[in-house]
Amino acid sequence: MSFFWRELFDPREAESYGSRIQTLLFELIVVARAHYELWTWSKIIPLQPGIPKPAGIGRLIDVSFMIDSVAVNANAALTGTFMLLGLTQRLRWGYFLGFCGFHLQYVARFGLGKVQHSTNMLGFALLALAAAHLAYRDPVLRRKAAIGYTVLLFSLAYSLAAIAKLRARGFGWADGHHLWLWINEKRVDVISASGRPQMNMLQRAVLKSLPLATLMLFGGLAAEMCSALMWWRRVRRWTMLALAAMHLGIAYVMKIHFVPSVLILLSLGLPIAELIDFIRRKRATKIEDAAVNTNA
Amino acid sequence: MPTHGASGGDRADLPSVERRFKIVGCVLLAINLCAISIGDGEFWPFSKFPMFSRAGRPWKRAFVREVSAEELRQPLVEVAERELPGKPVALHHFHINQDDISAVVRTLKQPVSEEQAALLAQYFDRLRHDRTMVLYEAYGRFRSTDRSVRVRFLPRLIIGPDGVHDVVVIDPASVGAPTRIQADGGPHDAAATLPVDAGVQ
Repeated sequence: MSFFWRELFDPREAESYGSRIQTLLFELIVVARAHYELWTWSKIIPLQPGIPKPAGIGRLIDVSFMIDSVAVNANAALTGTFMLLGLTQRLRWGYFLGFCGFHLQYVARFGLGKVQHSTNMLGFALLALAAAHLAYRDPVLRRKAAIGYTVLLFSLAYSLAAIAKLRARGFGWADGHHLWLWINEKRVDVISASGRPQMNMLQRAVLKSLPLATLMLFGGLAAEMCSALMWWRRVRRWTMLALAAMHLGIAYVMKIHFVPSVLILLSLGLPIAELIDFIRRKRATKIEDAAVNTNA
Repeated sequence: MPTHGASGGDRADLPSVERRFKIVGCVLLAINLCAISIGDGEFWPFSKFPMFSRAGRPWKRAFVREVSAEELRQPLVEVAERELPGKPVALHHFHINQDDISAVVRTLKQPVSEEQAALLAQYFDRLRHDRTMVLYEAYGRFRSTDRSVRVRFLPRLIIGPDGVHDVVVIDPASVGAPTRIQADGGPHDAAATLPVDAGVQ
């Protein structure tokens, strides 16, 4: 297997207890967040005036039947159940069916002309889990493959985002004036949504300083341009944490929240496995020392 | 602290396991690239992720104000934020999504089409029976002089108990300026535009 593929998936490498827990945490976060989105959308969808501009599967089939509280709640319940069956390894097709149900709920929610991208990474994680469960029966291989496919899809997504920006404006995209324009746009959105103007300290600082605004944009673009590096295990953590930091910056300055993306990136990027393995080693060493002292 | 790798049966067939991973990975990549190649590049979760790529371009967003009958008797003209009449309507409180309404505002025709008027009347149905609102098109762009940001609010529609009506924005410089349609249906003469404001920057 070539180097690049082995960086994504190495079945020969033994899985530590910490890695197993970290992957389980990743799955729990994906399933929990998916449930949250499903039930949040199920409250909004029945209030919408139809699906005038269908997205996704809505372009191929009529999904207007979903603008109904019974249909949307039933879909949420069924989709959530399939995901739980996948999480507990009781149904091999669980994640795949959950992914399909989630897509249907998304299409029903975002059929008014504006698509939302904050759940795309969540969708990729679900798809990765679905592919891993369908490709393998062994739980260890499933966990490794799920992480590998998640990294594959994430790296492509963020690279495409960087390419889109560079195609549109080249490196001139990172001009701080552009961030000023966006902050004013988001300010209007905040007042429209909440009725009150709200600007935080960082937004005020950015609006006063063109170099700071430029630096923030440059940092975000650099993080996206380097996202393909997450294929390489040695720098995967840092790439993911840089992308998580980018999203946190966007949330604080632009008031645009990519919560699922941040949660998934942190669950995979933070040294959770290493910490768990370190604690277990320490405890094992203490027990051994205590046993030696007792015998002595 | 390694505990275990793949189970005994799979271990003997590792080349097949690796090959399967590559094949499925290539299929996922192919599906991804196909999905974003068709249509407008959006097929959740697959996307070209064009967000924020259109840097520096003017933007348009929806903005709703609740106005009184007294305020509606004054000319409805393009203004800066501090000159907006009425009081804000917190859309989130009524479960109306700002992105959804802004998507409609961006495509509003002049005059508004029947479909769009019906869509907005339905969207604001829970609010409009006991209040009159003006739907503004908020737009922002750079000034050509110093690239500071200029944000203006252009009244587009009046939404109230009697439905959705166009607002004809007055341009006093034009000859035979059109009359403005009020929420009560009666025409009124054109009035002077308020002084141009310097924007929010």
